[in-house]
Amino acid sequence: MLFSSTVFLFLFLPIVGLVYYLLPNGGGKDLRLRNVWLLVSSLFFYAWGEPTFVLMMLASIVWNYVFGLIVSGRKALLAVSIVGNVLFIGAYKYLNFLTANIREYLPCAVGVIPQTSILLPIGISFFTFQAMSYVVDVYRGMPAQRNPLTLALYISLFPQLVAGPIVRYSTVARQLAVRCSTVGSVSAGLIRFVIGFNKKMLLANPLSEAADYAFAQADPSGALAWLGALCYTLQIYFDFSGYSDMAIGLGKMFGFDFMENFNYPYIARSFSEFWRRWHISLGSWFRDYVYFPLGGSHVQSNLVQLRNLFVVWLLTGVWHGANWTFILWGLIYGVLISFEKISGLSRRLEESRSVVYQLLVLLVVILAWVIFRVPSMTYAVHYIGGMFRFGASFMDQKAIFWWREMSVALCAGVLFALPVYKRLEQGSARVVRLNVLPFVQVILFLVSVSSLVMENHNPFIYFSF
Amino acid sequence: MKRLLAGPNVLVAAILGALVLVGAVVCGYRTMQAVRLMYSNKLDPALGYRSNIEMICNRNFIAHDMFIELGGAWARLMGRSCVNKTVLLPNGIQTYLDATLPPSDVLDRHARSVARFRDSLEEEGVPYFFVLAPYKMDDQEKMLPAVANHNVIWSARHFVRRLNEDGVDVLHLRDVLAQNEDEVLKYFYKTDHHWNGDAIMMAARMIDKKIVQKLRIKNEDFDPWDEANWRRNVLQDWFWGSLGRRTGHWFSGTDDLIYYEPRFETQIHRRARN
Repeated sequence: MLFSSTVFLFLFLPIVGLVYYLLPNGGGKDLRLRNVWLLVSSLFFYAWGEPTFVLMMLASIVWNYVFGLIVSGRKALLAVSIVGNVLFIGAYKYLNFLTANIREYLPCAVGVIPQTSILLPIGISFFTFQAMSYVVDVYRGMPAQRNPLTLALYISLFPQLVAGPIVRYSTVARQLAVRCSTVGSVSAGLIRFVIGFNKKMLLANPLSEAADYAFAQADPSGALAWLGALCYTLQIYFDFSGYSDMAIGLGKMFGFDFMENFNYPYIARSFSEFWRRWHISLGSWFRDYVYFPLGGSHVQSNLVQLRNLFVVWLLTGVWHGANWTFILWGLIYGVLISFEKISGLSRRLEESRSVVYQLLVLLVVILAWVIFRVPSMTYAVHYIGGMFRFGASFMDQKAIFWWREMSVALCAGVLFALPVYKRLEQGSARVVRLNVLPFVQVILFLVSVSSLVMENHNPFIYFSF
Repeated sequence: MKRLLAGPNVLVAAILGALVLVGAVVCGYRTMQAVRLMYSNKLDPALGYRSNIEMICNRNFIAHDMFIELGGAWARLMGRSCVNKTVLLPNGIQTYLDATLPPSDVLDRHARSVARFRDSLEEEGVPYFFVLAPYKMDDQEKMLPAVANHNVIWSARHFVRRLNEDGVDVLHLRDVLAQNEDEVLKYFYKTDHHWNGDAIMMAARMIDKKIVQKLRIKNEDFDPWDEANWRRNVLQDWFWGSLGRRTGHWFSGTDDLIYYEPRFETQIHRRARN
């Protein structure tokens, strides 16, 4: 079920919210009934898209619940649990890619290995990573969750189920048992949800029209290619950060505090800083569960540190999808961040506030998004080549049309990708901050609903991961 | 209560909550309606429950028209000319962004079928001519954005050419209605792809003239097409076409509705042979 759908907004959410708050909670200490209700709602939420995949998610929950009970301090069991999770995600997410490549590069395997065609369960990467983090945390000494329903709720909790943020068990373990919601926290959650919804409907969706058009062209002109890349850069930010805002807001409405997932990534002064601001929950997951266990940067040779970084960024690329373009995208960041870390450049650059390097970072980020967006490496080369093909054919009628059509959305996108709204909130008088800005969000909410009613194109990018 | 509303976040959330609850009541009702319709097989079962519920909730949403208006006004504010699969041309005419007719081989097949039908009628001694209804876009095609995908104009002209090659007598109403392109706009709704009352009147006169000519009917004393026999009524800003309904009148504007009333007694006779 999409957050940005009338069924979610006007049926699922009010029913779940009303029943949740009507159920007794023993002053915030006895949440059994509310938790069961949230679990049932979450399973229904997941089943709305494809009912059969719920069984697969339940299998994942059972697997990790059992290992959670027995893994504490036992490395071999931890390895079995992780291998099981990796095989699970691998089968659903990477088997098609694997068989396709084997068949392409080893013609002799064509008759032996059939081309698989397995449907990707929505949000598999997110909930599998959450489940793995639970088992690892228990292995490291955290108490296991004895109640299978509570663990099932942690893994399947609908606000962050399909597109994050990736919530650590350690973050919400206490909240699963004891939490309270106040009128203030529910209100703050609702407003946060609306801010995310507005980002998605009013910025990400319109920008996606130009991006989709440009990337669908076999040979876009330079100006159109640039527009497509810029629009996609902004679209993916507002799409994903909008979803995260909605998830965090929904969490607040039900008494949970999820971690922030974005912090204005496009103002980063280095590639390292960019990844501290972009998809923070994924970056910190890889840092804590892959990079640090490998030794991180506290190793004796640069070569080992390079290996660690390579592994992390290869996995980051692979996590996003089964395609060479994602792997290349991850490795590009791996190379750039390795260079910054080994040379000590990132700290110096962040301190020196070099605008030139900041712009270079932004340019590379935009080009990397092109690689992330396109279906194949060949098209990536062709598209990026087109962006730098200046000449008479640089600007054509299609480009003129889309630049004109997107001009306001682009300006608004650039403005809100910078911390302008945040500064406006902080810098404005209390009366404006508390009385005017929230009402602006209500008006924008109505406009966003109008986009829903118009049945505009509306998928979330990160649902594919 | 005063304390409750002291924090404006709470007040705003209360407004949002109220909006959501009103929407919930409507969507709940629509969902029940969708389920009932599905049980009575009035909805496409292939779509399944979920898609049908989503479709019905969206299409029959509370204050649907108001939200369309709001969406259209927002699109204006954002400087958009393409909204909800339509495009607003610089001359204020609205049309679909994509409008495609079948490819030329299909049109050729249709033209041959028409010619065969004409032949079979003529064997029976029944005269035949083909009337091609007028289409809105033609020279205005130049105003279409480069991203539009239109082949209606090309297809219509191709079809007429093929009919002419097969010797079929064609009354091409688009050409009859407007000798020059500036004139044609008055025969079409801005917010719809249909022709308006003036065009209908003109077309009816032309078709009648052609029938009289084909059947060699003698003109009687009474000429129904005399302008004095009709009263032309115009309802100002009264019509909102299917294109306009997708975007709201702040985006597309509205049309005048034109209709004609006869000033004479009308009676329709139908007489079947045998």
